[in-house]
Amino acid sequence: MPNFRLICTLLAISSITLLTNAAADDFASFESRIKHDDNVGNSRVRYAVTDTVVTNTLRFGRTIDVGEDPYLLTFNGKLNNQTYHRLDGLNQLALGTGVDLKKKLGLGPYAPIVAANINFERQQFQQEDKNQSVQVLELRASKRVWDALNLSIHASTERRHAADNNSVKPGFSGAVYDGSNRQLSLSADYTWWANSILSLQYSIRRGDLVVSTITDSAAIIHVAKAIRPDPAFGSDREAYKVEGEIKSLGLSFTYPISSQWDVRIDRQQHQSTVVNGVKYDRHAYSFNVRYQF
Amino acid sequence: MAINIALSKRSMKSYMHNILGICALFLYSLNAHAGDLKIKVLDQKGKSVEDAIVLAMPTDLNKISKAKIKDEVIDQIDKEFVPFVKPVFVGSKVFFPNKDDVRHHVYSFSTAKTFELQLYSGKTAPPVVLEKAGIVVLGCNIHDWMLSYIYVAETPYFAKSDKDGNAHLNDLPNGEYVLKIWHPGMGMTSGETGTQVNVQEGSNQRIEWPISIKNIIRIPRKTPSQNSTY
Repeated sequence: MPNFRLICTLLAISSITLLTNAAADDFASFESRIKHDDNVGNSRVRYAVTDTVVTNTLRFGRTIDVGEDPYLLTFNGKLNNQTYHRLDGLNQLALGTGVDLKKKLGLGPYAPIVAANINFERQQFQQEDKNQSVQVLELRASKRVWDALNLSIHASTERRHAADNNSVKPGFSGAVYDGSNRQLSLSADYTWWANSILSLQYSIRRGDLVVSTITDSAAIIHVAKAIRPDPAFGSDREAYKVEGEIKSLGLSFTYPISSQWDVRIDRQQHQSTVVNGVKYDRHAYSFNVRYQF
Repeated sequence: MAINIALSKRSMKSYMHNILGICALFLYSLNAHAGDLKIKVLDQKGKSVEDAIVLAMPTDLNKISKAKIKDEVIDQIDKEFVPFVKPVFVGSKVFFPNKDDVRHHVYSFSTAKTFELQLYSGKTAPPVVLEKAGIVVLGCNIHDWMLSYIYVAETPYFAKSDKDGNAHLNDLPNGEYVLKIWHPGMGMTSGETGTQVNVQEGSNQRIEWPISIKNIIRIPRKTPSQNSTY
């Protein structure tokens, strides 16, 4: 884990800065989400497994401004729990933390903003070989075009470190959940009537991706970088790590019920293409309720 | 000597009576030369409009020159400007106390007043004098959703409508006035001019004023793909 020391140092420095600064802005929110996913394993349509997952997330943090032409430094934490209706092995508990540094380049709401953040998360699954640590480094820039429309671009790199990388299939690596990817995304947030927000997001992710499908799937086995059984999906299923690209399109509508409560409906569409040209389609619909303390 | 004392007691009594009489007359005249205007502001759908500024511009401009200028305050509480709309008389000094734990950076790009109060806490920011009539739109460079409007009026006779749409102009001196109205939903316009009214002593006029306003789109505190600050 080469970046672990760097992350710990950054977190320690920012924690001391944040804890000793009296003029701090504390925040916390709790979010519940129910999501229906028509292809949880990201496999070909005929092997697709559908399920519904409930996610509860507690987020908290503290923001301070540093300097007279300020940088905004945010230290945040996250506690997350996911419970699947049928695929128990995917049930997950995650603990995350991160630091975000943000700078506005000018005066007024239309001035562009640049930011960088680093996040570290530990994910603990019911199917233990999926346990992993995730590090994400993200750079982003945003610009409010007019009061109602904000545009942003995000570039990130993600590194996953799995707890169990032992080979379980002769001739293949077992490091399915160990990998990396890069992602570029564009977002537009449009403020609509009654301060509701319509958001559109498009992203392209390249790098390692995991496909859970039937054992010895001919379409994938010769391009797989790592293979291991995936009992969360059934005894006849295996998880394959492959090189590929995921294009995602998301559309969401957020409605503020009050200053503290809001609800969001969301539709996500993903298309994965692996190196041999095989494509996998996946759609997800979710409903979120969020309370800001 | 005794006669003199008796005379002086009598003149003192008469003097006191005169003083009391003058005071009573003064108080009566104050009452008699004041009239009230009660305006109910409605939108195009007939709903009550809050935060509309109703102004009475006297046709006799001498009445304006005698008006006193007050110090005004716009607070920053829970990362919002309070109030959202504030009418002030031209020449007013406005203070911007920060009652939050975080620093604010207050600014305005408006032609009526361009200013910037760099990051500050508490009451350390100097007041801003608004010498020019017009609309001053306030923002905070740290919290982009913070928004407030100051209407700098050329007349000291103004009122802001409450949540029921009622704006009361009390104790207007006798005379002719031209009424005017402005609301943030009218944008950066000078507002809408209404009828001319004649205010007489003890008058109590009620006016219903329908206006056409647009929804105010505000920058949200948090968007789905953006963190809360900025």
